[in-house]
Amino acid sequence: MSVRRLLAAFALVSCFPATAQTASDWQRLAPLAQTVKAEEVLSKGIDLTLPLVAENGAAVPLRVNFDTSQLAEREFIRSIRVFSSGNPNAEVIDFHFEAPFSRVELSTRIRLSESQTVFVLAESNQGRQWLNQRDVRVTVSGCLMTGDDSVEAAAMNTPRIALPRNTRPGEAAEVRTLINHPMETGFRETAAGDVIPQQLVESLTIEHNNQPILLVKFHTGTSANPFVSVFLDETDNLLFRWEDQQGERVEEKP
Amino acid sequence: MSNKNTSFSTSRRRLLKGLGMVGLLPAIPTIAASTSGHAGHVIVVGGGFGGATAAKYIKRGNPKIDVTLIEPNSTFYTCPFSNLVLAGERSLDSIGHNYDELKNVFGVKVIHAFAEDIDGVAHKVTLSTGEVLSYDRLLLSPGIDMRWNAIEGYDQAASEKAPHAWKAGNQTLLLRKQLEEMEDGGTFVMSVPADPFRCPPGPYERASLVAHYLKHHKPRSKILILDSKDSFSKQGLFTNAWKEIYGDMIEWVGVSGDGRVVRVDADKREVETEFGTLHSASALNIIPPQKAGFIADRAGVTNESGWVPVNPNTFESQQVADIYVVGDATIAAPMPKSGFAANTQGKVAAAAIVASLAGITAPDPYWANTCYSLVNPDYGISVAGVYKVEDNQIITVPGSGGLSAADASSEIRQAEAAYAVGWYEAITQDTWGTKY
Ligand SMILES: Cc1cc2nc3c(=O)[nH]c(=O)nc-3n(C[C@H](O)[C@H](O)[C@H](O)COP(=O)(O)OP(=O)(O)OC[C@H]3O[C@@H](n4cnc5c(N)ncnc54)[C@H](O)[C@@H]3O)c2cc1C
Repeated sequence: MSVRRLLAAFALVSCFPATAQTASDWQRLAPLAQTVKAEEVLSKGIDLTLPLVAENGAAVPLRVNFDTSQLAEREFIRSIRVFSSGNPNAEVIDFHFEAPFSRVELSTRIRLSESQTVFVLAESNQGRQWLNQRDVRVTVSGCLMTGDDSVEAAAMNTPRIALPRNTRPGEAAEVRTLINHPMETGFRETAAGDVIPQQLVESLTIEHNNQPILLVKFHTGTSANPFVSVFLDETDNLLFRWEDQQGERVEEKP
Repeated sequence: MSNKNTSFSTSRRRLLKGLGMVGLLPAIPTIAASTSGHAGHVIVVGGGFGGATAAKYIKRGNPKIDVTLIEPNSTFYTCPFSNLVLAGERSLDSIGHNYDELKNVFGVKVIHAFAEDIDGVAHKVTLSTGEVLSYDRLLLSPGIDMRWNAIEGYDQAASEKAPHAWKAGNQTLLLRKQLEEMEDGGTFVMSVPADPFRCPPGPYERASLVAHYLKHHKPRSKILILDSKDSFSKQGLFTNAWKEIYGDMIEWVGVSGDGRVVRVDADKREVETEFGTLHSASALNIIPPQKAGFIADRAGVTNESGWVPVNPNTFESQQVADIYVVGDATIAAPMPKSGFAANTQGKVAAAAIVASLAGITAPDPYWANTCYSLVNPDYGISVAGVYKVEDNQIITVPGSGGLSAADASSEIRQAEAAYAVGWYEAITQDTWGTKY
């Protein structure tokens, strides 16, 4: 089944039989294929961790780990982008690094509307690209029916930041963030059949000493209450800023 | 434990009403009793819901097959209804079952030992007694093991002070004791893992029945559920019932409200969540992340997820021939990790083993599951599903099953509570030949 047909079929559906994807399918996933520019796409050094079976497609834990020893001198990772082969929108989440990170390890929670392949593409400041992919089977476990499909208010609230309890100088440390927001995709309907309008948090910017160091872009494939964990080299003087589609901003310091 | 002689006609009627699905189980090929000679040796590891059922149904399918059951305990305490024990509504004895029927009626050889190692190539099982047994087919239903230290500070020693009570027996009593010792006005804190884990509605049934106990004995107390998920099984039904029956006694905090516990101090009965909030508890129940019982690892049948991938038609391992695995240890989603599911999987695997030893093809499988939960002893809710294989994967039969209605009357809730008891009596009768 072509990607385009998949997208059409998915316009307003959130539950659909599984489609198998094969190794070269990234070339048929237009938004990803357009992003791949390097002549040779590398695979060594980029790890993508996802469960083989996800029992709740609304929040699937995802981790990306890039082995920075693969990088040349003065080369650093510029961006890491996650794509979905089976969601209505292929873009899931993007990380743009404004400065070199010594440890490139990210976690978040993503949405998968069906069983599919998830891709991750990393790009360095020298234009080299790395690609990896994982198949995930999405199935709602019988006992997991919640019987609850309430619609929440779409205003950002309760930003949270967790700094590591003990940091060692010169060693990158894990910083976790989360903000409450329903991340309405625009694909959902109320019981009465009305489309619930799209409402997304668009981005999270992390600044260190007033300089942006990381920009995270969220899409419909990012789970509600977007969660991000990254390893930062410095954890003093940080500022976190979230911005939604209406231009509302929330700022928080740890 | 003795079989209490309840009036057959009433319990039978309840059983049929409550069970619905049990009548629909797959036909086990019955091999003519005239088949002569050695029909094969099957070892079953684990005498819980999956293993005891499989041992019995292999014998029912072909009494000539030698079946050996390896199970360390002489009494099996069921997790189902252990939340009633926690609430002081039942005795631990009343959820204990033994292996007399398997031994005396079905001729299963029962060895009370641990299986310590498995050699899938040589077809051998090593027991904790040092004995080594050979098999033609092996069936594992070892249930779950806890992932110790997945939450910082929560290991086996800590579980003596902050019990999981996710395997019934002594752990249930430990947690019961904490509840009994708790002061009126204290907080019962429960930590719940992310999926997949044993019995998805179990934590919320537990919170309900603990609330039932506290309401009557320590009414100023609170229950705090710290969850690693943002939604849970039968959420709408539970949440409404909690409000209706227990007011604001139960507070649930999902992962996006900082509900994920990352560190436990069992001595202080204190937990810390992902974003650094500390909660202290009068009684502390940590249900940790889980994986297949260790013997599955030893047999080489688990994959990187820690669970066992199986061929859905037979529940034979995808990785090692002649080893069948059923129950919580398997990856069988959308079937949940429930006793009901383990029981029906045990029957499917038994049919496949009987057929394979006779050199014939296994019948097409299908499975059913109903998970009852008690919000209090007179208030039951349920979720049900029927499953089959399509394109070599287990799927939910479209349109099957469903949830209890959101607006059901109290008579219906009461009837469902009675069906839950009927379900319990029927499944334990089917699995061990004993009921309360
Ligand atoms: C609080 C709670 C409530 C629940 N309520 C329900 C309910 O209402 N309905 C429902 O359907 N399910 C319920 N469940 C789930 C149910 O208990 C499990 O799904 C079920 O026990 C799984 O069966 P099993 O055969 O896989 O494992 P178990 O029933 O746990 O059996 C495993 C057996 O294997 C033995 N074993 C393990 N390793 C070895 C070894 N190496 N050698 C020998 N023996 C070994 C163990 O001693 C044990 O006896 C509940 C669970 C909990 C925790």
